[in-house]
Amino acid sequence: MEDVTFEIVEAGDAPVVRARIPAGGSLFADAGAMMTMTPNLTVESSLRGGVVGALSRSLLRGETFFYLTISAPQSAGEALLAPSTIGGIEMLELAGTEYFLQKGSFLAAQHSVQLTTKSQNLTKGLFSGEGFFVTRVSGSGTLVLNTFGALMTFDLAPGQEYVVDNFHLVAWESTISYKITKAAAGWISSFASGEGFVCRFTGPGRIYVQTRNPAAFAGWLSRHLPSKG
Amino acid sequence: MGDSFQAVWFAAAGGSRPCRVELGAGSLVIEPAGDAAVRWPYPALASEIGGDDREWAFLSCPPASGNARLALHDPAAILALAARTSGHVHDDLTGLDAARRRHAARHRRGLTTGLFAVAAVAVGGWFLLTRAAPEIVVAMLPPAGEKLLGEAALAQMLLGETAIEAGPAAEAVRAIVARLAAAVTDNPGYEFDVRLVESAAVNAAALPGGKIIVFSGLLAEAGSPAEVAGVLAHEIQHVLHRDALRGLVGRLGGSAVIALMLGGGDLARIAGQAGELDQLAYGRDQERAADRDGVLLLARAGLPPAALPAFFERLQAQEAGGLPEFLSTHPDTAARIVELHRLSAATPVADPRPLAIDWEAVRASLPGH
Repeated sequence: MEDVTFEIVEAGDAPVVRARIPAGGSLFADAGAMMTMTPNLTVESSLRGGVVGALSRSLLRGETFFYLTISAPQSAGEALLAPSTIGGIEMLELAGTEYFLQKGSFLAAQHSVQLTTKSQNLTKGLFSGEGFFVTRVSGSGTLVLNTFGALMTFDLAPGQEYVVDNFHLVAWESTISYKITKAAAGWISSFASGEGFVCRFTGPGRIYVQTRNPAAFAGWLSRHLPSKG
Repeated sequence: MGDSFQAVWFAAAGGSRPCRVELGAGSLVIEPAGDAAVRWPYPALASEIGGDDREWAFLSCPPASGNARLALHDPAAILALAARTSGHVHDDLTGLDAARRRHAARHRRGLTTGLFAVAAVAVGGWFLLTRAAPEIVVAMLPPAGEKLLGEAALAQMLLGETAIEAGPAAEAVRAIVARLAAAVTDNPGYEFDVRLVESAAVNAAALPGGKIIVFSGLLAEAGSPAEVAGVLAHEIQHVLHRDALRGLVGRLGGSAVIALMLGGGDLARIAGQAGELDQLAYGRDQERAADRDGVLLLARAGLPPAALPAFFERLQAQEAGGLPEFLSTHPDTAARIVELHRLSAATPVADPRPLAIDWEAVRASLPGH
C-alpha cells in the first residue's frame, strides 16, 4: 500500500505541510495542527499510548494531551497542517536512526514512526529545560518537525564537540552523547550572561537547532505587554 | 553466511544513513543504503563507546576508515560481534552490554520513583499547593520528592567542581559519615551519602534527602577526624529536622518546587537557590536543635562531643578578620560555643570508639597542601 506523503508548501516565514493520504492510510499530528482538509478525511483525537502514556506525556513533557489521527477510510484525501509557531518546517526520514526531540517541535508523522518517552538522568532533566523526560523518535518513515525561527543543522564528526543553548535545541541523533554544563566559569557570570546552562554535544551525529529562543521571546513579549491595574 | 543486523553508517564525508551489517567468517561486511559495501577484518577493528547514555558502540578500521564509523546499538549485534573479536574491542562490547543491562534496571527504578514523586505531588491537588504556605509543601512532599530535590541541589553544586572520589581524604569522609549514619535513631529512610569537593571553602552542607557535600577546606582546617564528625553530625541533624528543605521551599515558594519536578519553571532561579544551600542561614532555634541533637549523635557514635566546640574555637582563633563560611552563616558563635561545651560535659560517651583514621595522611593528600 502507498504511504502518506508530506510536502512543504508556502516555504518562507510561515510554511505549512501538505499531507496526501492514500485510501486506507493515516497519519498522526500534534493537536491543533490541522488547518484544512478534504471532506473525505476523518479526524480523531487519540491518546497515543493509552491514558497512562498520554498522562505521562502531558505531565512530564508538557506536550498536548492528545494527538490527532487523520485517516482516509475510503478514498484518498489531502490535509494542510500548520504549526503554532513562526518559523520553519523540516522533514526527517527515519530508517534505523533515532532522534531525541525537544518538546513542542513535533508536527506530524507517518504511522510507522514511533514516539516514546525516555527519562533523562537528574542533571539533564532539571537543567536542560526538557523536564525529566524527552521524546525519543524511532522506527521508519517521515517525521515532520516545526521550529521557532529557521532551522540549521550541524553534522558532528566522531569525537567532535559542540555547545548549544538549551532553548535553541530542536532534535539530536541518539548516537550523540551530551552533558549539561554551565555556560560560564562562575555561577554569577553564568546567570548574568543570560546563558545559564548549555548542552555540550559529542559526535558523531546530527543536531537540529532553531534560530530563535522561545523562552527569550516570551520574556521579551511579557516586557512589552501592558500590565494590569 | 553469518548473522546480519541493522546499524547506522557514518561515511567519512559526514551524515548518517542506515546500513545492513553482516558478521562474516573473518570480517565485518557493511552495506550502507545506496553505497558500495565495505569490508573490515575483525583483527583490524577499533572501538569507542559513546552516544546517548553511552549505549552505542562505534567501530572503525584505522587508518583507512578515516572519520567513517559504524554505529551499533542492537544488543544482539553487539553480543554477536563481541564473540568474534578479542582484546580491547571485545572488552568494550561486553562492557557495553553489561552497562546497558544495569542502566535499564536503574532506569526502571528511576522512572518509578520519578513518576511516583510527580504523581504524589500532582494528585495532592497541586492548584492548592501553589498557593499554600511552604510548611504544607514540606509536609506533603513525599520522601521520594525530597530525595529528588536533594539530588538536584547536589548535582547543581557539583557542576564545575572537582570531586575528590578516591584517596585518604575521600575514604576518611565516607568512614565518618558511615559511623554517624549507623548511630542515627528514627531515620525515616534517608540514605546519607557524602561527596568531597576540592575547594578552599571551610564548609559543609547537608541537602534534603540525605546527600552531604563537604569542601576540602573544612578538612584542611580540622585538627582531627572527630572535629569533622562534629560538623557533620550537626549537618545531619539539619537533614533529619528537614531544615534545608524548609529553607529551600521557603525561598522558592511551593509552586516553584512543583514546577521543578514537572520540568519547566524558572530553572535558572531555582538552580541558583538550590546551589546556595551551603550559604543558607538557619534560624537560631534550628541551630540550637541541630547542636543539641548533634552532640547526642556524636556520643551515640562513640565520638567525643567536645570536638565540635573545639573546632569552632580553633576557627575563631585563626580568623582574625572574617570568619570562615561555616561560622559566618551561624549566628552567635560565642554563645553557641559555651552552650556546646555545657552539652558535651553533660553527655557521657557510653562506648568510646575513636575513628581509626590517619589524619596527617588525610591532610597531606588534600590539594594545595
